[in-house]
Amino acid sequence: MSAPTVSLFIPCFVDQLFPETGLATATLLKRAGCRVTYNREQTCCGQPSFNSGFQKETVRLAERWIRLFKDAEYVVAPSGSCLSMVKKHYGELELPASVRDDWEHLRGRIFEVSQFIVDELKINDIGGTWNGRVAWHTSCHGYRELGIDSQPLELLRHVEGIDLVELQDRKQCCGFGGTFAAKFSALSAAIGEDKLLAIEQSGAQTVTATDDSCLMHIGGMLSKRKSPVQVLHYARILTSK
Amino acid sequence: MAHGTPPADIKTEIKRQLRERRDPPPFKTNTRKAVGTRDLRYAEWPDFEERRKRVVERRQDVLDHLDEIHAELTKQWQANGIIVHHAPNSAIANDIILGIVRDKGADNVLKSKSMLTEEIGINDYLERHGIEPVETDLGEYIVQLRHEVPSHITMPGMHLDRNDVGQLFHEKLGIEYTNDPPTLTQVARRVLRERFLAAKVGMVGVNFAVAQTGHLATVTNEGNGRMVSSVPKTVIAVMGYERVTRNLDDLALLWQMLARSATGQRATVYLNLMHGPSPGPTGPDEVHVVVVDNGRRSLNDDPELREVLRCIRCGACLNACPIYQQVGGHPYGGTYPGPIGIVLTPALKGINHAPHHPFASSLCGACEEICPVSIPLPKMMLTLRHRRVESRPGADPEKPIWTVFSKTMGSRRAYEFAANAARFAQSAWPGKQMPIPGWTDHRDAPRFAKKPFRELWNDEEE
Repeated sequence: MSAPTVSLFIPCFVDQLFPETGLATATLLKRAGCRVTYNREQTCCGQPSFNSGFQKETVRLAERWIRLFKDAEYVVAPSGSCLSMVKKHYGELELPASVRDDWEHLRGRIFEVSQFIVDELKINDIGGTWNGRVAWHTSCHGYRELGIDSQPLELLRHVEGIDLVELQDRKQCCGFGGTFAAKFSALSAAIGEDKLLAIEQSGAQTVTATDDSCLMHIGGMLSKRKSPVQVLHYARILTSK
Repeated sequence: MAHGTPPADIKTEIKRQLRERRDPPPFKTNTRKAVGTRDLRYAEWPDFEERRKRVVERRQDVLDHLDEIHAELTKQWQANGIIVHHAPNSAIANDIILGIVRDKGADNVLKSKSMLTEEIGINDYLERHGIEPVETDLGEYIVQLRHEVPSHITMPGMHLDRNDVGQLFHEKLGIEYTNDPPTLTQVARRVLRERFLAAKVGMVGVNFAVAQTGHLATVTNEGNGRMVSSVPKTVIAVMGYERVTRNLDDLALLWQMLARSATGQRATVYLNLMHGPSPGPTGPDEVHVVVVDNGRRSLNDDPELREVLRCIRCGACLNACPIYQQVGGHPYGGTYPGPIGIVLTPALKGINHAPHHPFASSLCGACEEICPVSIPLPKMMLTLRHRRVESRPGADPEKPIWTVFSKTMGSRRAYEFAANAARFAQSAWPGKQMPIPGWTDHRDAPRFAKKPFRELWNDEEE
């Protein structure tokens, strides 16, 4: 494959809260031999309003997103959840026919970063050095809607010095769930408590996953309880030196 | 909580359960155990996905030809000597059943386990008319003694442990306290056996009716189902309109899937096939079937939600659900808890009957993944959320929020302005942390980065 050009989709909350994840994503793609571009017109994919039942409000964001990315050779993002929105749930919206056409043509070229590197570029070692035990949590949307789990694990296994463990019940939801975390706050936290227990049992100093959103919830709970355990997107582990 | 009443406010009830539950809650332990044995059993089937596809296809075929299959079924039933009743709703179903019971001069009805009889609220109805409903499934018997409704579709006492049952039997049946399950089971058996021998009318649920032969199939693990349908001289079978199969081969397919998904068994202990009356010492003289619609036929015409009627009531989605595991079944109110409940209840009765139900999910998808008939439950939750919003245009309190959200995110400048304003507010907040409703009670808030990616990207490109 001659150097593919990848258009970065950096979800809004990654842009604002976790920009290093975006930078790490770009670094990984460059390591894999890609040309990387980023369009600053992008904002939010519309998942929060969609999951709240506000489809009309979501349609304008979906149309905008599709317009911005339709000519990309590839679209790659560091988030399974936002990707399941643009790759899958956009199909459930009432979009104008021409926009839907554009989306149908585009959706096969949208990937999560590890999925792109492992499944598309056939690379299973992208480097990285790490010291310490890292626990893997499987994020629901990426895994159940897009089949992402083995790819990031494959890349992490090749990180030099890493002591990689899988959390017990790693495919169990962490309790985040977007607006669910606020609407059913105590319930979301109760589910999170079980995740924290699994983290404690793992003996890891770091928890990682495909989605900064899950990690924001898990990390926020850990920090509120003064736990020394850190959360970090896996792309940052792969790009650490 | 009364039978057949509208669901409670799920948000309030979940909060209450989280406050009041013990540690660890039995439903958490029991659900995880159930998922574990279910997984073991399916690991024996390397062709699980193929089988699941076949089961989905058979269930969907039935839904696509439902009226036609019922026409065939009714003919078969009549040929077998079964008396057929059609009930468009709960009230009519209850009246039909009460009529039969009164006609037989019975003052009690023996029941085997049936969620549909919970749905129509027959127990309350009979009691109000001076007739005692007697649950004979051990789990149902236990929750009935506690004046509760089942907290699970297949395991009614999912919220209890053996100590609870020991205490209950000690208080209600006057036996010495023990928490030994075999002893407790023997006690229930002894008490119920006397009821069986005196009963005039039995009522059974129906897992599937077989169109080709007219068989009424009931799946159980206790002998009670067979007793209820063979000892009393009159048997009333109550079934949902969609619970039919074309033939016995399809029944065999569904039975295996149901057993593995529900309890992790290769087969249940009993598969009771009732063909019709069989006068004599070991059979009923009269068999009635009450086919209950209660919203099912119109749901079958709803293109976005009709697939939910494929459900075979195995309860696996409850066991796999991170929310059910935390709170059990009672906060859902109504009849059907868990992921299937938050879809089925509003699908059958309209979204405004259970407006918060479809929101009680993190949309993790564990339910769809475990479902033996691949019902796209998360997608249906989203559909129902949308219907809730559409059902009160202009009046949804969240409407202004999402209008502003959509406008802000619809423009780069507005988005950047809003993000910078939030960044500033957070940094200027006096004290350690700006409180965020719904978030900071349980978690620290993430900090805005000094510069967003869009600004850092500039720096990096140089």
